[in-house]
Amino acid sequence: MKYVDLAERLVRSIGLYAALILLPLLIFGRVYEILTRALNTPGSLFNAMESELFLLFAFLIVGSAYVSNSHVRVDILDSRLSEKARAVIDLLGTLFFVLPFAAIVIWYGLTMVELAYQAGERSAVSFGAPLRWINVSAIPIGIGLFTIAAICRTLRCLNNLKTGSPS
Amino acid sequence: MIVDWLIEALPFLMLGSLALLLFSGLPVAMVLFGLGTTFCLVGILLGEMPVAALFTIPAKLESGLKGSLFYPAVAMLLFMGVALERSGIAQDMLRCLQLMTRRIPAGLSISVLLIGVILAPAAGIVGASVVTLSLIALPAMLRAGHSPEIASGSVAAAGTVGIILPPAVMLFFLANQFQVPLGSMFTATVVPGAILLLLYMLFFIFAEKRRPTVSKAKVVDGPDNPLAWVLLLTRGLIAPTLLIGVVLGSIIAGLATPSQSGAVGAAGALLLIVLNGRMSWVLFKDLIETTARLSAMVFFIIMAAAVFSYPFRYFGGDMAVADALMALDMGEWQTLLLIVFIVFVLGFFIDWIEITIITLPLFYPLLLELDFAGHLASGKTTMLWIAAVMALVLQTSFLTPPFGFALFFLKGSAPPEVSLAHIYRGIVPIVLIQLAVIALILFAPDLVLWLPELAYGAIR
Repeated sequence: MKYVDLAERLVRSIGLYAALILLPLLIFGRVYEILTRALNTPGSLFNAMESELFLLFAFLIVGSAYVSNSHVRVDILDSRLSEKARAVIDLLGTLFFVLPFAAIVIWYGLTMVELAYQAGERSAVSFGAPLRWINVSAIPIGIGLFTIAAICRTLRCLNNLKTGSPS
Repeated sequence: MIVDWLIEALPFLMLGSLALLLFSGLPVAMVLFGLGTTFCLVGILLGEMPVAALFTIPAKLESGLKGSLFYPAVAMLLFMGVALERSGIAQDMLRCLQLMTRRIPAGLSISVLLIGVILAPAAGIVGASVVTLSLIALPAMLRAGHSPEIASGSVAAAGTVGIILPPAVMLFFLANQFQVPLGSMFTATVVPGAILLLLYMLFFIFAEKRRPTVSKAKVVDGPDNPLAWVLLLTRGLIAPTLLIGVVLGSIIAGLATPSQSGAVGAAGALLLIVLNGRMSWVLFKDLIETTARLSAMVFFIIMAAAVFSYPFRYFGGDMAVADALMALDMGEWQTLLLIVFIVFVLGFFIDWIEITIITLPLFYPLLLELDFAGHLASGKTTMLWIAAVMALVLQTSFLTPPFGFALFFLKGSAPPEVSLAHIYRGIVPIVLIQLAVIALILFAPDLVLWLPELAYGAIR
């Protein structure tokens, strides 16, 4: 369980620091753009960066939200199930939904990164830097972090079941 | 033979298993991407999909997220909502409205509805408005002694009514799909929206009369000297209303994109916190962390829905629907009601963005053929009427248990003592009101058409 704690803390702090950097960038970048445009100086680099920054933000926070159990669930039946049944459902979800999905996203996502890197691909907008591979790599990394969080949660469920301690 | 039949049935199997597995208690996003992946693999096994189609899954995650230019604006408006809520500004706002409506029964529910009307069109995205309102108003309503049912009913109604009122972004998409002028679309939903609000208010007043809230007297307590009053009004109502007015006004006037308005809203909310002397590093970190959590919740569902709809559309799920309708060969009313019902059901699973962009074009030729000559003038007038009906149907769909999008978002951001069962019970009267108003505007199209005709002379 020590490693589970460690892994969860890692996933969580990556999400937190990503948000602490990216969210203010998104907000104040836009505000800066508005101010500079109002002062009639050219400066719409931000327009080009916004969707890329947002992509990084959205993927990097998905895992940490799972650690804090913030993803929406339909819990009307769930709350009536025994802890064992819930642990089994969680295990099945991780085995049959998360792992195949994660394998596909990470495998093909890395291919996307490789292609973007080799082609020196630019983002769709005119100012885009040839660094799209950094952005694309947010996809396998984000889903990878989510997968770590899901595995940790399942291990915790199983461990609680084994030791009989409440979750 | 069996394989052919199975391939035909795949989209329906997908919808069926989605309906079942949502109740497993697994995160909604996990069910969506899990089924999306599983059915891609099934498609490959059946020889319907090439293995290379798997490459599309990570690409779908990205394109789902980049599908709308409004999404970054959603994150920033969420930040504004969280900032107004966590810093106590929204409480001040609610307190002001509450003081102003204290002579009216169910004043708090009505205040929440008013905040919903002010806040929601700015966001235009159901998830964002419901989350913002539930953060601002739910704890206050529970503290004031409202039952979790009434509290969540108020928030869900207030959080979704905004998406049909101008300048909600959904109306841009509907006007575009139904080929009606934006001005007409904007004015078409005003009267039905007003009727809805009126009925909500009457319901909350009725509920209050039937079962008065307990601790009402303690909560409503105004300051006793005039200076404190002015201060509270400025801090609690004038400043935030100005901020929201700037955000909204700049979009209506076409001065700013949603994302620019969102950034101004977020930065403005921070400025208000600083001016109120409440800013601290702990609060700032909390604001960022909460916004990130809520954004993850909203956007993971959007990403996962893109993964789900990929095999669904690949197997012709949307076409299967239109084909089946064509084959039925029914009268105009039956066809319209059936399409309305289908959009209603789709609204359970799919955001209005996908529905207006992908599903409505499939129905559009069919809808153009419909002749309501006995009921109202054909052509643009009929389309405007149908577009307004669709707006209300989508809004209702987001509210309807057990799947309504808005309900999950509400649950996600509600205090733990509010269970999904409370929310389901609280939403039933609201959904009944919605259905009554939809029936009303189907029956009396003039309710939709009166204001656009008044404003523009005739529907162009």
